[in-house]
Amino acid sequence: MMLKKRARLWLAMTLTVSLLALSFACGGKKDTAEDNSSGDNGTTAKTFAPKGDEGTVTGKVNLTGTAPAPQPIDMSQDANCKSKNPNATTETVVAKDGKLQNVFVYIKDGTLADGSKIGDWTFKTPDTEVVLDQNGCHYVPHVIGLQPNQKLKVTNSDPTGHNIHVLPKSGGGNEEWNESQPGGAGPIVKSFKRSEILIPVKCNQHPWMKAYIGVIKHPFFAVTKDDGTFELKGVPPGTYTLAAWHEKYGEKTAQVKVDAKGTATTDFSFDAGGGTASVENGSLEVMPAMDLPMLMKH
Amino acid sequence: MSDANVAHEAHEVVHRHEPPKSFIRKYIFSLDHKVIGVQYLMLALAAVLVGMTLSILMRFSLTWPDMNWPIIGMIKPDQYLALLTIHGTIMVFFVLTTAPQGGFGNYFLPIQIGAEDMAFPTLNMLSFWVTLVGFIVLLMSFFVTEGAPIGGWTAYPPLSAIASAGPGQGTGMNLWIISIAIFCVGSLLGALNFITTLLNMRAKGMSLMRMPLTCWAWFTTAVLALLAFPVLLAGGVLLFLDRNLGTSFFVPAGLYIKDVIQPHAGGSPILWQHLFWFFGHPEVYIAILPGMGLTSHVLSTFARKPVFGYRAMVFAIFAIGLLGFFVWGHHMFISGMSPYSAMAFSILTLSIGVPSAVKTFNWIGTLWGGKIRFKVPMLFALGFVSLFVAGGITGLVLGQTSLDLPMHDTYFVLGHFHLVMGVAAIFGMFTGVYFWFPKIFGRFMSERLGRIHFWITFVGVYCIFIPMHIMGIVGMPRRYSRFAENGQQIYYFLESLHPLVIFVTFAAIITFLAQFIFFFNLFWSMFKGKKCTENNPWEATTLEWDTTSPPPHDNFAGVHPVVYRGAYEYSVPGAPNDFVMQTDPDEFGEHEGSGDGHNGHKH
Amino acid sequence: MGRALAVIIWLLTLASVVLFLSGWWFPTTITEHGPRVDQQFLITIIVVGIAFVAAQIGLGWMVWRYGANSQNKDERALYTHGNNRLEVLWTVITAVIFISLAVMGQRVWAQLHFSDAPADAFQARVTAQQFSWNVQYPGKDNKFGRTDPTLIKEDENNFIGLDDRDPNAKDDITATTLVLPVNRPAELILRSKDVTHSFWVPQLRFKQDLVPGMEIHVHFTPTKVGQFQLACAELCGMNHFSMKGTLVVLPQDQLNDLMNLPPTQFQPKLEELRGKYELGMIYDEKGTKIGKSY
Repeated sequence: MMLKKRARLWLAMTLTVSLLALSFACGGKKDTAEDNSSGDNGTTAKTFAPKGDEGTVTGKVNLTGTAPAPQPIDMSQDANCKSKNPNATTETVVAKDGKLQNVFVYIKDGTLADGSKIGDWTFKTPDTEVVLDQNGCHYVPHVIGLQPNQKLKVTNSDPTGHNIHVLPKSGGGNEEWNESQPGGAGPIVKSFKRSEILIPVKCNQHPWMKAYIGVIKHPFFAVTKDDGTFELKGVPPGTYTLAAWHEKYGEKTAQVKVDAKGTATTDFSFDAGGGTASVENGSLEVMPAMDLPMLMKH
Repeated sequence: MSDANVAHEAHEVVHRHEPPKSFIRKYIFSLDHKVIGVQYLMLALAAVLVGMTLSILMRFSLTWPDMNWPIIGMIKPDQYLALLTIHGTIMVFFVLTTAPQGGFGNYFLPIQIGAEDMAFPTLNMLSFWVTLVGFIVLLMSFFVTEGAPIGGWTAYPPLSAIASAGPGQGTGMNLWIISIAIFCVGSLLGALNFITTLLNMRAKGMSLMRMPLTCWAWFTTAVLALLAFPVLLAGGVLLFLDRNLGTSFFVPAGLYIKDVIQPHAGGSPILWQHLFWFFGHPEVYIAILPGMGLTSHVLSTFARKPVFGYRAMVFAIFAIGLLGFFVWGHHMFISGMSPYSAMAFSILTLSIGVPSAVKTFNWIGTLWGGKIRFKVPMLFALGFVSLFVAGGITGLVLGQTSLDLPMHDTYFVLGHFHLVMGVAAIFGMFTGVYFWFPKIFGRFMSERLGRIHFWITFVGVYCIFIPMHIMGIVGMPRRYSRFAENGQQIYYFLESLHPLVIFVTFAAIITFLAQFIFFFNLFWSMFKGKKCTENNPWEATTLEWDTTSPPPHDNFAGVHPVVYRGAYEYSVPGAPNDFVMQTDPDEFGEHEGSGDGHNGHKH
Repeated sequence: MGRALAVIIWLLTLASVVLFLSGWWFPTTITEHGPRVDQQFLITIIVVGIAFVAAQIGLGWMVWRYGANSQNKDERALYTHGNNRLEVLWTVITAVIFISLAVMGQRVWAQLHFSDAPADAFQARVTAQQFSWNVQYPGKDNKFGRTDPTLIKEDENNFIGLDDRDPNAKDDITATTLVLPVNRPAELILRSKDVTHSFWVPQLRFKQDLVPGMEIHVHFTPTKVGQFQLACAELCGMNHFSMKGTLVVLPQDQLNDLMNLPPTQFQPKLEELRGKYELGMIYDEKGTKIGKSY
């Protein structure tokens, strides 16, 4: 009798432990499961429908001062990269004739002509896939934008293996993921749940490879072309804060008013000498954490 | 005297324990060490099936890296590492640790020492169920986001400490640690139980030096488990804290992962390696010692000869157990540990080869002059000796500091430890299954299928693991997901090995398939095998053959057996049979004076 | 049955021995200590081989000779509990052989690890990361520039966080290829940015983990010129298998020229030099081809 009682107690404890483990395992999944397709604060969401009076925002992004020269990338450890892309250079600042490429321009905030905030609207998720290709051991394009839940298709055109490590801000609602894609493997299709400016993407196999993905709840965004120009189409009339984001130089904003069926033009200008490279605080040398009898000076 | 005996026996019969009546108490949450032993064996059987399947998938991926397989698709590099991690963990923990000790030890240790049950039956039941929970938690890691961890069964930090260091290092890795921690608890409970049972519950006359060598092996294994698992448990807890609560036991400052400096400082990755291998090396002996004990037992039984050098065998088991705690550093010669301590570890490591060699000599000595009966359990025991030699002897290479420079983390290591702690230990388990099956289930396994199983497996494992030594010499590193990409060899110096890689894969597939003969034989024989009506089908001497097949709930039907001699009295001159049971009170002729287990004759 | 088993055991033993003699062996060594590692390996493998063959022959013989059969079924096995003198004898013999091997195995180890690198050693810092190798050379001034992980910008070619405000860093060269001079001791300073890696070039007969948080100094002397693959030998993550690098051992004059170049001209010149030496071939100290390295 004694034994039986004790057996039951132990049994209960075992079950508790296993349940705890189970709940822990599933815990990780739970917070990602709550899907919020309407975007950031979709409490009183109305779905946006074009009325036919939408306008366009165009402009270009200038770079003043001397642009840092792209540096050659040493790809010698992967012959496949090297043969495909022998003159690869860094892509952080790509500028030609004072015009800056790869700037992500988007409507950050603003009010439509009817007085509603753009943030209060919801937008239909496009059916089209946005492709991020790995070609010549670079991401092509370098900067892309898509909407929450829109499909991102990652392809590998290289005869070598890559891994795609997507690094959203923690706690922002988007999940970090890291998948390998050997040469010849099929595409990886993913999507992002929340808007985020901008999500870095890196390849650990080829550490120079970097891309940025902007996730915006509305379709009013563009990436500057090699002549520095951008064009946002289908923008409903209203007054907006337009933002231009660059991976090195940070974000600038400007006010823009879009008339019905009109074209608004806004230019941005970044200073090549500026930048976000805040290197003043660095003092953390890679040093032996433990000065124990290890192979120090031998 | 005789009156007292009668009274004694009558007294015992009154206390005979009846088995529980309900199905759940009898077969599921049973306190009977025999049922628990079978439960452990079934768990190990399920685990080995998973582990084996994972290993075949790994061979597929290594041999045909770009192939798109039906259902599973292409096995990607990180998926390969997940297979590798779970294969290693399942095999080491849930097969090599559970079956020989938890399975056979649970079933036969009490019977072989003449006890009714384990000292703590409830604890015994608990240790099984805890272990099962550990197994389930481990398998769950395949089904969480990003899947199972990729850090190998050794889980070296910082790879295992930082969730962003790779896919599967998030939730999957947490589950791995939880699973291992649960397993440690289960093993500790089991170890306590084994030690107490063996020390306190031996039958009258069962002095320590009359015990079967299996009991010595289980006892030493339990002591090792009791001392080693707490260290792993502690390490696991610290790693869990590092991962989830921001401590830095194993993580140094300034790690640059996913483009940010990790917020840790002051830990040492090498500390984990010390803790892990302080457990990990004794674990190797936890896996192999029961097999060694059983091999001695079966060799003696089927060679119809006493174990050669019983006392030396006991000392050797103890020496291996003891030295096993002082050699962990040989896994870490090139880890950044002090080169001076590496030298000390190297010398201790080669010393542990001495008791292992002594055991081999004694096994061959046991066969010498025997009348060997080639039953299937004997075939597997002989296979164990052959494989133990083949696998163990390359430890002389790997234990040397300077030879670790080329050999560390190559396929040479893979060949070495798979032969000695993997395959040899599994041959020990096969020996146990074929040997004790009639006792456990009251039926025989098919000899014919058993032989086919033996021949294919024995040749197969040589074909799989001997070539791996060559791959290691040429320089093939272990834990590589693939050696070619898009049909191109990644490392030019490994090109010449391609035929061997294919050969090994085919050998592995054939050996894998041959195991289904075993599975079929096992389950078919449980229900349809030839009935075993006698107590002692193999004409053996130890106590488990002195009771019915299968034994009653309290093992000896209320009788307390009394032991009169050592465990291996075969071919005693003057005795009526060529075996003398331990419970046989008669005296026969003169005994040779090596002094093993003869001091009980005063009785 | 017994005889069949004996034959199988012997055949497997024979096959194992043949496989070891079949020509698959170490790649040619290119370091000063390499031949002694090989020699120690050879001695050990011969001892191991003899013990392996003897044990299997012995086991096979017992199985062949002492099987029960219809002729001897009335006889009994030999009744013996062992022989203490024999036990002592074989314990002592194996102990002597095994421990001598362990002691012999320390010599190369001691030479490599119990002393500092000579003062004139060529220095390079090797920093590993998931999944590539970075090498920093001190340049003309023979002083390494300061590094700091907070300065790392991988997409701007600063993989090790070299601080360009440090005057010592001005002439430092960073590359992904490890270049060493022939016949001059090389001292490597091994570091890791993220997880534990292991530096391994089979031809060097040398392996050492790179442990984050530690700076591990090792030294050895290459004696042959050529290009060799550098592999990672410690599981470091998903692409561990493709963490390959290149070691180039150059004649001393070529190396000196290379190291005296301004950092920007290093890479093109190195490419040119690499063109001279075929991967997998070895060359003598003047750069004349002498054979294959594997």
